[in-house]
Amino acid sequence: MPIIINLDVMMAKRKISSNELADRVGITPANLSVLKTGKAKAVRFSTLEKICEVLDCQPGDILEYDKTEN
Amino acid sequence: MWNKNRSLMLSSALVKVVYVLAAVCCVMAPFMVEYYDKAVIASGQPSVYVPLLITLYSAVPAAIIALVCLDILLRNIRKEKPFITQNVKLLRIISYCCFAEALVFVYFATLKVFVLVVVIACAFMGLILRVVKNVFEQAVALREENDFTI
Repeated sequence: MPIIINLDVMMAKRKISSNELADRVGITPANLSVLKTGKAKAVRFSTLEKICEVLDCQPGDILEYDKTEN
Repeated sequence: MWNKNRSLMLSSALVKVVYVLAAVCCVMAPFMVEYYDKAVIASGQPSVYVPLLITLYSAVPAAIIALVCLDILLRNIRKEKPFITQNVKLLRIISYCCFAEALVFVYFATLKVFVLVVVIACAFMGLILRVVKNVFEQAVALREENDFTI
């Protein structure tokens, strides 16, 4: 998938754990793990909005498009 | 009252009944064929004892495979796992079994034309199952997409 999730980077910058992020966003740690490992097929706008709100960042800070990965 | 569980139980029980019927037919086939053959000979036609017996016993493996697949399919549905890749594979196997049965009966249809009805029924059933398999395949993809939407 050419879409790369850089959630780990943002989480490290904000010094927030997976469990805390999952709790504050309102998703299960298992679903957050699916998102972090790039297994997710889609992300709801509401989830993205919450993640951006909690991590105080833009969607572009979390999502990246890589042409070479296909 | 009638509900989903009772319907599944009935389907499962019917599969078990067909298992027993298949076993009984395997044992009794020579006697049943002999009985039919006597009627054929009495009507002045040549004996079909050996071709019919070959046809019936050739049809057994595909029938047993289809029954086992149906049993596993029903078990998966009872576990509330209808839209999984295994079920798509099972439906594909069952449809292939139907086509195999159609091919087996083509041989006997060359001797008795009315058996073409069985051939057409088996082939049509296989076709229907293939379409159902395609529907399940699409449903599995949709379920996976839904499961991996965060």
